[in-house]
Amino acid sequence: MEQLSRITPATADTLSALLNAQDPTWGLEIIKNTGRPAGSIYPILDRLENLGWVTSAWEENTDRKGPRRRLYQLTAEGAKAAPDVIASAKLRERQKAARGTSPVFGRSVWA
Amino acid sequence: MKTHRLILKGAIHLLPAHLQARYTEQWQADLEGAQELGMSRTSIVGGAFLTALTMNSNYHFAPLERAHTLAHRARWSIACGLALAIGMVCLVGFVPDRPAEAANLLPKILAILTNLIYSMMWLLVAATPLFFAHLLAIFLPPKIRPVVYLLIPALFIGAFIYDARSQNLGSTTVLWAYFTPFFLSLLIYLWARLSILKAPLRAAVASQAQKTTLAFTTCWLFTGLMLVFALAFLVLFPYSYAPYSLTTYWQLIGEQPYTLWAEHWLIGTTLTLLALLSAYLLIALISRRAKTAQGVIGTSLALSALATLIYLVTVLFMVLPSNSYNSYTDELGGFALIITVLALVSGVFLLLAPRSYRSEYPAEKTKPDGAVLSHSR
Repeated sequence: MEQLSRITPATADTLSALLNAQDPTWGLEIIKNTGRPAGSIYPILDRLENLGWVTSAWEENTDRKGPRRRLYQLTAEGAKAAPDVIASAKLRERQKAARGTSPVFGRSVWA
Repeated sequence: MKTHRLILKGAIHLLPAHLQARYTEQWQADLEGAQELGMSRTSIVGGAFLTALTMNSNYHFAPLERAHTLAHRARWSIACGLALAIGMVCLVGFVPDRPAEAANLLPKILAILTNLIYSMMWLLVAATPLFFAHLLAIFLPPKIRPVVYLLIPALFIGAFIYDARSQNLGSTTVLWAYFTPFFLSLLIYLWARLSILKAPLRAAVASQAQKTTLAFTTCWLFTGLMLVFALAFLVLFPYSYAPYSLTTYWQLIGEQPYTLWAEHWLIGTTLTLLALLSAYLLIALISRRAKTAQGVIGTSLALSALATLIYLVTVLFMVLPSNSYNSYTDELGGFALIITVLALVSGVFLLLAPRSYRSEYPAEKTKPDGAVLSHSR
């Protein structure tokens, strides 16, 4: 598993959603659980997968017709490292908020 | 739903070929299941587009051997250098001999514009020795590389100062007209170089930084092409003149009725776009990767081929009698020779360089329990 070069709040949310899930989770469900746009989460899942934090597999043994869904889960190493990454991301967000920067809009609350 | 599927297909075509099968099924499943989760289909399609445009396809290739990586980086260097140099050949014939000449003939604003373009020509001239520095740096130990990059710009700055003094121009003009675009060019070029040097060993396709740099480089190339085609039309057009420099060219355009001016640029631009489309299709046919936009424009070989093609068109015009390109024969003899040699050398290099990069990871692996996994490391 390779180190994450940048950890954005969206990355932390994705890791959090994967950590909370007991079983392999459908990619679209992760998008819904994070509440973030698909354009943010798809590339993050791709990056996490290629760095060895996440594995993905096609769903199997389903009666549903049509294309198969892609299911994601944290690797053993990813599951071990994810809590620290999420904690440090949350800490950074808190520090940013304390400095007077809105975590939502990214600009000073005094503006 | 049909519209969404159609747009989704467009997004999938933006992906590298080896990823298309996986994401076609994955995103179609997401699209069909969106309602089940109460999500908007439009957001899925938009997300797919954004992902396809920003996906770092370097992740999906196997590590490279060191020798192959060097060859790969050398190819990118050659492609950038060649494109910049040939852009210079296309453009340099359209500038006045001296900036002061433009100032005497044109209104101030046009004089400034002319001077700016003139200084950009020097920028392209500067790219040619940098191209050689690039080639040298690939094979030099890392500690010596910065010296090569510092030495060559230093030589050029000296030449610029000497040139400016001989024309008695003010220091502000000198700085603005010469140094700023020069340093801009240098930065763009070094950025390309650094991004190539810093690329991870497994990188087999261009990184975002390389693609951006290539976009700048290609802009130069296409601007040159546009001028070449636009002027060719002006020569053929019965009511037009055949100007020899950009100064005269603008002066003549200023004398034409507005309709002629607009018509000229419209047709010139259309011809340019047609030329680009033809080049695109040609490269797509050669590389058999017409469905992958990234594959066509994002390879060093494609850029080199395009640059060489444009150069050949320019040379063809140069040898034709009775047209404005005759002016090239006086001004560009040395440049044309250098570029011809460059094109030849790079063509041979591209043919001989090992091409075993782009070995893909197996697309799928099968787990012992039968579940199909994507590649994992």
